[in-house]
Amino acid sequence: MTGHDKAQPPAPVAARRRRLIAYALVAPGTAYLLLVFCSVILLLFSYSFRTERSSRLFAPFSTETWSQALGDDYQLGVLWTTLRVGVVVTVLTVALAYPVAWCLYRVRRWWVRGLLGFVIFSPILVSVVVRSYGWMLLLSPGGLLAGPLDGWLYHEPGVILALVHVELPFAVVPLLAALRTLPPGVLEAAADLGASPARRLRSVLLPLTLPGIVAAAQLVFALTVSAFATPALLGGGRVTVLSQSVYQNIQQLNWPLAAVQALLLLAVALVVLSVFNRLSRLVDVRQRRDRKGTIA
Amino acid sequence: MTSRTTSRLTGRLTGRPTGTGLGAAARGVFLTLTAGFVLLPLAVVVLSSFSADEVADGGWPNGWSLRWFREALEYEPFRVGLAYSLQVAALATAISLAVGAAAAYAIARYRFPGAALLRAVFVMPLSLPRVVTGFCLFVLYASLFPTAYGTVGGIAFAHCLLLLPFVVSVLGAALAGLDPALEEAARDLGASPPRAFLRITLPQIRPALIAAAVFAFITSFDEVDTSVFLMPADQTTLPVAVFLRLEQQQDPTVTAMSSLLIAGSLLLAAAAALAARGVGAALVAREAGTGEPGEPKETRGERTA
Repeated sequence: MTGHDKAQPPAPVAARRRRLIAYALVAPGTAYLLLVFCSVILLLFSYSFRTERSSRLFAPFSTETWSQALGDDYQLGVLWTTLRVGVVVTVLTVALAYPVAWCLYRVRRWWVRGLLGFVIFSPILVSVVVRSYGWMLLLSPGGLLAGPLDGWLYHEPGVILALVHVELPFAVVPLLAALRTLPPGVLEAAADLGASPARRLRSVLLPLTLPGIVAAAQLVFALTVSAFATPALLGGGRVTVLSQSVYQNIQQLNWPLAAVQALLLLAVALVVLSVFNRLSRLVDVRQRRDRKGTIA
Repeated sequence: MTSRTTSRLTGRLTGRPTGTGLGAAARGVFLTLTAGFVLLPLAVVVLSSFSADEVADGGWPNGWSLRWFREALEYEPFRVGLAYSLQVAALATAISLAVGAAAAYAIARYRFPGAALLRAVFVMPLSLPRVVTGFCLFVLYASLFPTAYGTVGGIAFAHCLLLLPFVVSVLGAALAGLDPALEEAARDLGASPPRAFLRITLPQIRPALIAAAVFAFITSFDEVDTSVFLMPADQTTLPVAVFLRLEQQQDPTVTAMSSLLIAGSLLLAAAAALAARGVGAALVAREAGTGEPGEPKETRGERTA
């Protein structure tokens, strides 16, 4: 018994050792992430305030690139296109994903559900370049959809169509998760009390799955505004979004303008993230209040 | 008749309302249409890659041939790109699994100041647009580490940023579902901490490890948005080579390569699903064997008697 006690270090020492082990285990990942984040912020700001490409770390300070990016009609148009495509794709994707998730949720045979789930989620595994190329083929002049969707390739509708296809699985996942948390029998209770299908959708289903809708919209919008390969291929140079513009400016050796646009892209992503976070907290609070109300 | 009643009953019990036949038919039609929308672009790529035509225009092929597959595999940028992509994906997967598993384990098992903050830090890369990451690492390499530009290590280093959040969250969820008492018991019985981890905890999270590894590998292999900034146009990974060629022209070589990529991803996913299920089944079987010790003991007793 005493031997066993001697073998164990005193409690504070053991606690400190456990903490040291924990820090040692998280250290590599944390160091890596902090290194990348810090260099991202430093480099972006540093390059956005100069006028010419140079690999020197310090250069004369100038706000010319910023005023060029925010004062030029073409540059503002790129920002506007990015936001417009982002909003349209988000609305269309969530509107399509909601009934998909609902139908998947209602399918009873496990193998049908498994098969359809695999079909709808499998595109995530296929390269975005390949999926975009499929749409290029479908929309090109000799393609299968060239008749009904004439002129969509290399224009905004084609970009939006392909983006909806790419982001659809990402919207179905949170919606399906939200549907699975529905209290059992709640829709039948509404039906038994005489609510019409439209009323059940409006007063029961939509309010209860609102957190899932917010989560799906957040994910799709964030992925869409930063998408690169799909708008680059389907837009064919005629539809330009921010991420493409960053790439083009690098190729034209205009690093400062690329830095400004990268910062704008980052700002859009972060603002949208915080807006949606606030929104989902709001929804959460309201739901909790409603639940309390029904109990009381 | 009876099966329908039972299914309606289970529908009631699980809280899933069972619709009328008409509603079920409408849902079936809608899901089939959606599946068609989802599969159409992939199907047209596969179809066109067997075409004998000289140009890929997306229409129905006038004849059939396998020659574009041969040309795709003989096209130098694709061949070099394939080897390049495989190396990058393998390295990035290995690094992110090692670093991510250590971090997920520490966050799940140890209580220390800053653990909640760290959890947030490890998902932060998700809110960083990939193009921004690519641009910044490009400038970083160009100004400080010119030797990292266009190398397997440099690109794998960048890909870890995309893989880490996923690896940490999947492994973290798997670790949170385990009973820490098992590992503590192993250590009380004299196993060293690394040995207890390798022999007790690791086998329990194997399905999550396989899932994380496969998804990380596919993500890194398919990555374009970050990679395109980090390599010269004449020597690129495979998806970037396909992307750059598509920007110039559409020809059946690209179509055939795209078909091979679709087949590769689906095969890898299917293999991983089978492997994860096999491991799961083995675990269930083992648990069933140890969970009911009564029967085997009795038979053993009878044999000795």
